[in-house]
Amino acid sequence: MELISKKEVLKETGISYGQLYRWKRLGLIPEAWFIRRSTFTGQETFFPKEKILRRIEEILKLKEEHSLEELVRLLSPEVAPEEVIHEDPVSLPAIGREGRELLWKEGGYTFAELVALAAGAAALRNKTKLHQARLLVELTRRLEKPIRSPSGHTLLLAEKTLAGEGFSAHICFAVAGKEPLEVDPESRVLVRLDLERLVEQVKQELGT
Amino acid sequence: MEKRSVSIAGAGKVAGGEYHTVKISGSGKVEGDLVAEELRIAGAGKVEGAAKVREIVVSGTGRFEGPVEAESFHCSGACKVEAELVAKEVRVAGILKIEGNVKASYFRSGGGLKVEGSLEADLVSLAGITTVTELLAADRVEMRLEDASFVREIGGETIEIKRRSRSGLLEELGLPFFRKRGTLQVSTIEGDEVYLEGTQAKLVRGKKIHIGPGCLIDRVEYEESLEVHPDSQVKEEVRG
Repeated sequence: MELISKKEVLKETGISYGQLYRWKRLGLIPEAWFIRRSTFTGQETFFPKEKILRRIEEILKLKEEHSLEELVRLLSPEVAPEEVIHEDPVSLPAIGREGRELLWKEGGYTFAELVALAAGAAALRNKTKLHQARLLVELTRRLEKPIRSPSGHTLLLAEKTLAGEGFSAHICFAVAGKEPLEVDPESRVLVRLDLERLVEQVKQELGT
Repeated sequence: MEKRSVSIAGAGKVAGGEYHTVKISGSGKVEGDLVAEELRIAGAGKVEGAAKVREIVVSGTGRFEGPVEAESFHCSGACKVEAELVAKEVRVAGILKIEGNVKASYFRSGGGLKVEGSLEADLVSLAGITTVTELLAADRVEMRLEDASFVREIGGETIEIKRRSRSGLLEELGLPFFRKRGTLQVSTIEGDEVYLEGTQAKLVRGKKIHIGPGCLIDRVEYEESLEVHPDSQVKEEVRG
């Protein structure tokens, strides 16, 4: 991941220190993007280059027509996930028609629930069975905290076969955790999803 | 249903839950999470869980063992929050220690403040002795230094750090020996407009920087202008 220093961010985008700190405070720039490194002048803050430049461009573009509070809802719904209520999840490409079978209510999906559906739909696109994808949905919709700051979080769906004398059981399980997330060698990982990418994807699709 | 109000005047405790008003004027505690419109502590009070209260006034000693969420938080006694504090308006006239991050719109302190985390608000105005172990950030940061303050990092649009001008009796009698000038020790300051007095910093960065009296700065990086008081020292200046 290419990093960019705070000073370079300001130079490249023309924003002020005041704006940068204000946007951080509001959650428009996620805490996790502030990476502290030691340099010859002491501690210096760096950002993931691509992410921060894209985000600032979005903020500058949208702030003409929206208040900062509205921007938080558009760009960082994970900061106020309770504010999001979506009636038609299937209309988001991340969920799409694969996700139709995963829906469990008519409408009124929250942000975490949308991310959960997107996780399930991604699993189905990876050729998992419906009941397996549902495990992932059930797990993900309860991950309130990781969804707020998803950096480094992974979701995975795995299966294993247990065999003993006279019996054999096939089990499938969903796990959420921080990288490096491993399962025992006898288990087979069916799907591995980067939660941050899912969150970003749902967020962007909600914003357009 | 109308919510109950409770008042502890001697020594006592109440269970956590939803109340309208909780008043503690002797020594009392709330066992568990508290949701209320109003919490007043005039003696010694403790909330053993999370507090979500519209208005909190502590004029004795208060201790919050969980996170605090309030619209207004006033402390004129001594108060400790053992987790994070989120409030619209915080005013401190006594001593406040917070063992977590603080987020507010308006934060004003005139006594002793210690934040073991970050303090972020729209406007921060601090007088007296301040310690912030992480970031202090606001659109406008004002500090009036007295004695020794310590902040790791300050950021914002306008940053104004001044030594408190005191014309106490002893000074008027011509006893400068008793005069103690305020100082601030900080690692990095970043702002669009920065004015400093009595500050020791490794790095100061901004558009317009004015270094007033009593400063020792290792490195200044400025874009538009830099002024340095003859009584201060800047080891390295970089433009751009």
